[in-house]
Amino acid sequence: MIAEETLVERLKQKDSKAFEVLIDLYKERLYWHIRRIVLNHDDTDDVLQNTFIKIFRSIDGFKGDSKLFSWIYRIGTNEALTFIKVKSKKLGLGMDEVQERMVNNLEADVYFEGDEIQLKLQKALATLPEKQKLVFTMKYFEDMKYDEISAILDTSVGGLKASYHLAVKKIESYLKDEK
Amino acid sequence: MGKISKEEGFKTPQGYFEGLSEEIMSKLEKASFDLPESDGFKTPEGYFDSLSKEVLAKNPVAQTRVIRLKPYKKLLFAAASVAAAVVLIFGWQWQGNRSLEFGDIASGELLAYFEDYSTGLSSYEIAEVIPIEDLELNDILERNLDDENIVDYLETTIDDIDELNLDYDE
Repeated sequence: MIAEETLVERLKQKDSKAFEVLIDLYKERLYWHIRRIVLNHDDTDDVLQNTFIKIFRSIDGFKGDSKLFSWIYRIGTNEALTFIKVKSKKLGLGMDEVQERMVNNLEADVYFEGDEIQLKLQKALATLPEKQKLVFTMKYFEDMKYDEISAILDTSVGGLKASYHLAVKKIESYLKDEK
Repeated sequence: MGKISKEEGFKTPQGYFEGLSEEIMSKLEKASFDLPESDGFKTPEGYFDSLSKEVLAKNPVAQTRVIRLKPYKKLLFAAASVAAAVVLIFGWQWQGNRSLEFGDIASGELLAYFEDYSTGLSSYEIAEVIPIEDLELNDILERNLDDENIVDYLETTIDDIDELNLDYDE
């Protein structure tokens, strides 16, 4: 396995082999992270590819103050959130309405095979504020540690714990009410 | 009563208390109710196998090179973007008989608006749609810039100042 410093150095030299290594290293984790934000496979594919291209183009700006992993995730998260904002603007809808529409589309999505409870969970997640939703999915589905999430979202660990706790409470209450 | 032992005869499995805190904490962190372990999403078959090739086919490495054809245009766009932003944020005086003026809006509210409702436009795109013909750089700056200052700045930041075709006699 290639050391992070070496990989970054080779990326800065625009070594295309290094880019391939980087994609292979992060494609799946980043895909699922973005998918949980934009929900649809085709949109995720667009955002993911744009994220990698942005990473390539901005690698000179990576100073090593954070881990490469956090930096990449931060770009992916921003790209995914920007994608939704642009979509809501194009459709002339508020962010909440767009989120609701995205979740409703899941029922007809061939790449979503969730059962009733999984669909309800997505509906519950769509009602959460952006930060709470991100923290919940990163902690619950992606099994990230609070300090990793903290480096990506630039939020204190205490704040993240509070957000996660609130998210769980709200999801719990949503699922109870929907029963 | 004094003769009765305080030992109750209960015991715990070996090492029970050692891992208890972690176990409780992990249960607390996982949701306290039944949630599905997975989220139900899937990908087309073989999607990840071809992804690297697909991204690399877009030739991002080659696209990282920025060829500066006319650097002065970049400066103009940058100046226009700054002008547009300053004008928008700090008080464009609306013409006409409007009862509410743009200047009445607190700059904090404006900043919050721009933060909440991202235009999705780059500075270059904004510069293209904002009319700047009637604006001079000194109209939007608090301190006037002399030509001499501008030339000094360009000399230190532009690789080849001759490319700008500056007319020093003006």
